[in-house]
Order: sequence, then structure tokens, then C-alpha cells
Amino acid sequence: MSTISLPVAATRRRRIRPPWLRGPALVGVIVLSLWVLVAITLPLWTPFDPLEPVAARLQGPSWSHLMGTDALGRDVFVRTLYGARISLPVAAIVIISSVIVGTVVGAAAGFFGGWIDAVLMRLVDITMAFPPILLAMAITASLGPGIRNALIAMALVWWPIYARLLRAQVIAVRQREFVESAQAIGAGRWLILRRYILPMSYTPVLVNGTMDFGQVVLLTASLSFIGLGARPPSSEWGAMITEGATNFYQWWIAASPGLAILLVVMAFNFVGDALRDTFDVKEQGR
Amino acid sequence: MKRYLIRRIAVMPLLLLGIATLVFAVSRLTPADPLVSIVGERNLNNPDVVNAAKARWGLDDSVPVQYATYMKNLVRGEMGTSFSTRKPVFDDLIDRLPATLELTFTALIGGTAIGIGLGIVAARKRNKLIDHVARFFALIGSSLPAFWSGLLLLYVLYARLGWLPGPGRLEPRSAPPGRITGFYTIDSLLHGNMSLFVQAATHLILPAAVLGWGVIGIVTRLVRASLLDELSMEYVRVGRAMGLRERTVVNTHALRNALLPTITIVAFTFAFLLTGAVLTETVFSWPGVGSYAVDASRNLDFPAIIGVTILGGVAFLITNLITDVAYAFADPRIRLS
Amino acid sequence: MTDPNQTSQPILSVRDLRVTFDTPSGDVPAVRGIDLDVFAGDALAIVGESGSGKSVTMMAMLGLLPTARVTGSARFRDTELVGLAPSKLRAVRGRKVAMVFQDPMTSLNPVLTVGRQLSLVMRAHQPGLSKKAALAKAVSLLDQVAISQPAKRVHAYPHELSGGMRQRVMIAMAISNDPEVLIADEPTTALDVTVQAQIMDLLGDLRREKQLALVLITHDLGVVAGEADRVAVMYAGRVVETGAVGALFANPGHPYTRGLLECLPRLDSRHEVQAAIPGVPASPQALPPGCPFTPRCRFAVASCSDAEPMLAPHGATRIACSVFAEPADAVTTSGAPR
Repeated sequence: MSTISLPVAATRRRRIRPPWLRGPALVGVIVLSLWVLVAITLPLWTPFDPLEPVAARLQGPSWSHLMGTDALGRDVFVRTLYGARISLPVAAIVIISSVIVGTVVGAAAGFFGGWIDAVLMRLVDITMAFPPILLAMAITASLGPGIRNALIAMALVWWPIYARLLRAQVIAVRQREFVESAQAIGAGRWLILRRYILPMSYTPVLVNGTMDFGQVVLLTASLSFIGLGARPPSSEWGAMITEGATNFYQWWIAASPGLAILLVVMAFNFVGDALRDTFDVKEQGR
Repeated sequence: MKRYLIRRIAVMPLLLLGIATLVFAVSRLTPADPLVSIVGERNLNNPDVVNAAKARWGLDDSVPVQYATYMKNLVRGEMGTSFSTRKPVFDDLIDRLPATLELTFTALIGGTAIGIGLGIVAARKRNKLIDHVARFFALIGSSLPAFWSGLLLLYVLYARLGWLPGPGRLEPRSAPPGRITGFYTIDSLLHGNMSLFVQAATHLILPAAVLGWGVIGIVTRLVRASLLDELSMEYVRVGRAMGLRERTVVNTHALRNALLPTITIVAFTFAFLLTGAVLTETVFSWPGVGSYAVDASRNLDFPAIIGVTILGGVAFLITNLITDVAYAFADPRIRLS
Repeated sequence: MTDPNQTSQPILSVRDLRVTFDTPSGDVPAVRGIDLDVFAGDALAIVGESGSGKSVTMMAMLGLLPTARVTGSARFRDTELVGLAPSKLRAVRGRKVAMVFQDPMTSLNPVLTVGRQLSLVMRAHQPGLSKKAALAKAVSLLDQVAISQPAKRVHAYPHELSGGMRQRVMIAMAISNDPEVLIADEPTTALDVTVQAQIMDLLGDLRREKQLALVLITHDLGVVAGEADRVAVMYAGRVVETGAVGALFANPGHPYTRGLLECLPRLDSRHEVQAAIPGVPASPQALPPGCPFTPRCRFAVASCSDAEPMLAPHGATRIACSVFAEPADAVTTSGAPR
């Protein structure tokens, strides 16, 4: 019997928007984009100098000074916006360096196994045995207070998470058949690592990295709050909150940077959640 | 399970050693003379103090010997003397630990209980309004800097509205109860002093709530996700097919499985609580280990900083061990292996 | 064996059942109008490939697919199940109509003992039953399903039992409330061959002892031959052939059924190449026009794509095929017994 070719009934396809453009994630993306935009362009259009007194001291919010002025007469709102120019790049550097170092360590441990794995993972375990802030505090205090040393401290504290993550991914992927096939056709270990294993491992890194961005911003602010991170007259958010604590009844001095932190961290959490949902089959569709 | 537990416990001394070593390495990172970090700037010109320190810490010896001395001292509980309080760091820590524990336990228990409740509600009423509200509340808890929310709540609920008492564990002129556990709430009850108990309890509310909010943030999202995972499992479908009430399906079947990962998260929550304690205690003038750490940081009181860091690491390790053991007991698949 | 053509009332009667899923890519019609009858003491086998809709039929009928749209009728005795209030449906599920599922590994809760799970099911439907009494009954149930040392096993966790034993526990759970209908969804697929035989024997024994109506959902024709009285063959969400098991095996009408039977390996021929039905099962999301089996059918003619055929007589069975059905009553309404 000759084959009969038949037209396949056309299916109706509803257009689905990808998760990162839906609801909260959209809000998150917009908020973050605005912050980045502000951080980059601020010096071009800022109405006031963040470091110089521009008005009477300790004034409440008004139309000319949206979040009032602080104890030195500086505009709080503008200082808050300037804070983004510190927190965002610092967090970016910390995360990127953590991912790079963590990937190298974790992939090496997962791929080569044996004593390399044992040694590296012990190092990871020991570093992760501390609540991040305590270790960061100790390192920063040792190196000397300042935002630069705080950055180094945070980078030193944050990489183990990614090492663990990568190691788990590498181990899982390494056992899959296409890696065996690649080995069978004589692909070198480095090639396998680079072309096969690493691309399959980046998903959790992406999700984690996004959520961690917010956490690092929090940690930066925390370190500044206790005097180890950014120092005055820097307009880093944590340092501003310290000033706000001293001027307790001038609530706007602390409220403004705190709100900034909240907005940024929440935005990162929204986007991170959406990313996680994208890669998790169970949440899709309904 | 026995083998797993033995292995887990056997590795502890190694990890403790590792922690101490790491902290030692960190303390020697300082570009300045280690002498400064042990006696402080002020005492540099005091020959007695300097010589005593050199003797106790072997500062004239090579680094490996210094390390050995450091470890020897540590095992004896000798962590150096704080610059600010002039007392041994170890004593300071013991002194201030109960305050922090009282705060963190309250936040942990309260936050976990509320978090589990919210997580269940959110999972059962998935994608309905209450789900979104609960998740939003949890999200804010995870995104708020604890020191900021503490300030804010203090300002609103104490300074402006006067609903809750202000900073400190007790009213300014009150004397603490005789120290049995160091927990003001428990001790005042044990002494039968009801008014003091009320004071201690009400002063506990605000800082515990601030910390607890963060705990809720973590726990709610985890419970919701775990419960949703379990509810999509086959045995849940079978339970429904057998005609079990939805309530039974959720509470007896799914929840029991979903709560297992929650045990693991307790360790992570503890890390969060230690962090939060450091930040919150300052705002609420809570005389615990956290504010001690902050003062030490601001004053560059190195022995104290090192001491707190070691304490934090040890506490975290122990908590991890306890949760791993608890998990092994709770999951019959591991318990009976 | 009961007379397959008996005129007494069927205990379970399905008419024009349709189940449609609402997915992001459109409506998916998983079940497109099927009729079934199940009689007490009788065993009906529903046969088909994955995606034919056989499991979905039963699950939708019992209200286990809240996200699906279900239309049509499914009567258990005098109660209409489609559209029934959830609380009333719950009273039917597990009590009057019980279901045994495919994978005993994941069908049991890993953190509860077997006895506890049995007792939960019993106490859900028998409110006056105390925990102690339920546990005692659980022991006796484990005995009925031929699990050795029931008093000890009742305190075991699922991971401590073998696959066959777990399936027996599932069956025990299903019969714990003395149901009238037992639906077994691929009861042996996840098990070893030897264990399969034991489980099927158990189901057969239970059917005879308790006069259960048994519905066997399976793609394994061996199971069908061994235990079923009547068969309904499903393809692409519809019944394409139905009749007594003997007649169907002896003289299959529908090309799909013929294909299935031809694919069974035979011990009595030496040189045959293993047969297979060409192509892949029709996807409910992209059904060809007319008879959905047309692309894979070696008897297909052009008119097969015109309209979907209804069930019509063919010897002792009824088939939905315009090529082979007896022409006279080719357009009977499906389902009405002759």
C-alpha cells in the first residue's frame, strides 16, 4: 500500500510570554534597569553634590529636597542615588569573582576527584563553616576598614557557595552518557570540560548569582553599618543608615537608604525567582 | 545510619581545627604588626603589657610556632584580652551569650512556626490572593536589612506610637533577675517575679520580630516549595484516589515529607540569625554577642573580633551537626539504612 | 465466568465521556467520546498505547483531574459521577470504586508505615473505626493479599518491601473498604514477569471471592488474555474495538487490533521477523482528519480521512472502522447495546 500523506491538523498555539517578562519579574527588571541607568548617568544630571552641604541641616522631606537633608546639610535623596554607584559595582565584582573562582575550584574538584576533590572541598567546608558576616568582619578588620578591603573580604567569603554548586553539577553531568561518548571518540579532558560540562552547569549558577546579588548588597551595607566597610563621607547605604541611627528622630536620613536597599534586593529576588521558575518544570504552565 | 552518624561526628575535630586555623590565618593577614592586633595601639608603649603578650602568644617566634601557641591557648579557652573591656574575651563571650541566645531562640521558634503556617496556606491556596500576600510578606523579610527594619519599627512603634518598649532588655532602671540561665524571661519566672517577666518579654518582642521576619522569609518559601513538590507526587494522587480528605492528604501525607527539608534549613537559618543578631543587637542596645562584635569592629578590638568569629564558626558547625543528625532520625529511609 | 452479553444492569456505565485539557498551546482532547459498560463479577480490559486516553478516562471519571474539562456521563449504579460535588465523589472513591496504580514504588508514602497508610484509608471511609481496630483490619488485609508475616509487615516502611509486596499493599488498600468496582491501572507494568503472574492471580481470586467488577487498564495483551472477559481497545481517545475477549483474539476486526495481535511474539514460528505497527501513536494535539489510525493503517483507503467512523458490528465484536465494519448498521449510535 502506498503511503498516504495527510495534512496534520493545525494546532492553536497561545503565545506564552517567557517568565522573565511576567508580573513581579517584569517589575524587578524595570527597577534594576532604572537603578543601573541612574548609577551610570547620575553625575551628568545630579541637582546637588552628594558630598557638599547644600541647605539647612536636618530638614525634613520637601519638594526641593525629596528626602530632606542630613546632619551636614547634604541632600539625602541625591546621596541615596549616589549610593548605587558604590553598592552595585561592588556587588557585581564580588559575585563575578566568586563565580569565577568557585567555578574553577568546583569544576576541578568535581572533575578530577580524588585527593584534589578532598582537599578543595575541605577548604570549602571550613570557609562555609562561618556565617558570612563574621568572617567578612574578621578579614576586613584585619586588612583595615574601607570599602576596598570589604570587597576583598566578601569575595573571599562568597566563592565557596559556587564551588559547591559547580562541583555538584559537574559530578552529575560527568556521569551522563554523552560525556562517555565524547571520551570514546577521544576528546581531551579539557575539551569535555569546556564544551560539554560547563555549559550544562550554568543554570543554577545563573539563578543563584542573581539572588546572591541582593544578598551581597545587604552584606556590603551591613559591613558599612558596623564601621568596617565604606567610611564617611561616602554615601554608601549602610553608612548612611549609621548616620540615621545617630539622628534617630530625623527618620528620613535612615529611611531613604533603607528603602533603596529594599527596592534593589527585592528586585533581584523577583528576577531570581523568575529565573528559577523558568528552569523548573513543575512551575511552568500553571 | 550509624555509620553515617559516626562519620559525621568524626569529621568534627578536623573541621574545628580548620576553623581555628583559618581564623589564625585571617588574623595574620593584617599588614600591620600583629603586636598591634593583640595589645592595641594604646599599649604599644607599655613594656609590661607588650612583654606579657609576647610571652603568652610567642610573638617573637616564627609563624608556625606562633600558630602552635595560638592553638594551645585556644584549647584552654584562652582567646586574649579585649581592648575595650580589659577582660578576657572568653569571659566576655560567656557573659553575653545568653542574651543573644534568648533573642535568637525566640526569633527561630516564632519565625519557624509562623513560616510553616504561612507556607502551608500559600501552598494549599496556590496562586490565589493569600498565596501572593504570604509570599510577598516573606519576600520583604528576606530583603530587609535587619538593622534598618529594627530602626524603623523602633521609630514607629516606640518613639511615635509608644506601643512597645524601647531598646534594652529591661526598662532603664530595672535590675535583672538572679542569673540562673541568663535568659531574663526564664530567670524571672523561676524567681517568681511576674512584673520583671512581663518587662523582659515585652522588650523581647520587637527585636525578635525583626529577626523573625527574616526567618519567616526563608521558611515560608521553602515550605511552600516543598509542599508543592510533595503534592505533585504519586502517593498524593493515590491518597486522593482512595478517597482521603484533602486535609488528610496535605497534613498527614504531604506535610510530613515536606517538612524534612525544613529541618535542613534550620542550620541555614541559624547562620542568618547570627548575622541578624550582630546587626539587630546594636539597634536595640541588646547586650549580647552581636553588639559585642559590632563594638569590637568599630574599635578594631582584634582579640574580641577573633573570639566572636571563632564562636560563630563553632556554633554554626554544631548547629549543622545537630540538624544533620535530626534529619537522619526523621527520615525513615535513612534511619533504617 | 459471567455471560458477557448479560442484560442485567451494568454497575458502571460510561456514555460519551469526553475529557479535554486546557494547555498553554491550546485544547488537548485526550478522550473524545467513549462508551463503556462494566458488570459485577466481570473483568473489562481497556487496552491501548500510551496517550490513547485509557488512564485519563478512569481518572477523570473519579474526579482526579481537576484541571480537565469532563463532559458526558459516567454512572456508578444510580449515581452520576460527572459533575458530582467533590465531597460526594470523595465518598465514592476508595469506598465504592477503588483504583490501583501502576508504580508501587512511588504510590506509597515513604515516611509512613504500611499499616498507618492502610488505616488512614479505612478510617476515612468508616468513621467509627478506631486506630486499633483499623490496624487489626490492616493485618488481616495484608494476609488476604498473601503477604507473609502480616503482623510484622504492618509496621514496615515501604522501602523495606519488595516491588511485588508493595503492589499487594496497594491492592490491600484498594479492597480495604469493600469496593464494588476495582480499577487496576497497569498493575503489573512496573513488576518482574514472575511477580506479574502472582499479582494477576491475586486480582483474579479477589474478583471471584468478592464478586468485584474489575477494570484492567493495560497495554499488555497477555494480561488481557489471562484475566479479562471483555475488552475495549482504545486509540487516540476513542474506543475502536470492543467485544468478548475470545472473539476479539480469534477474529480481530479493527486494523489496530490486528496490528497489536500481530506484534505478539509467537513461540510456534521460527522465521518471522518481529512485526510492528509502523509510525507513532497519534498525538491528541495533532489528530489527522477522519479516522486517526489512517496514517499507520495498511488497509486505509481515501474515504478513511473523510469522517471518523462509529462503532459498528463485525462478527462478534464491534469496531470503529469504515473499511471492515458490516455495512448495514454502519452508523449506529455508539454504545447502545444490541
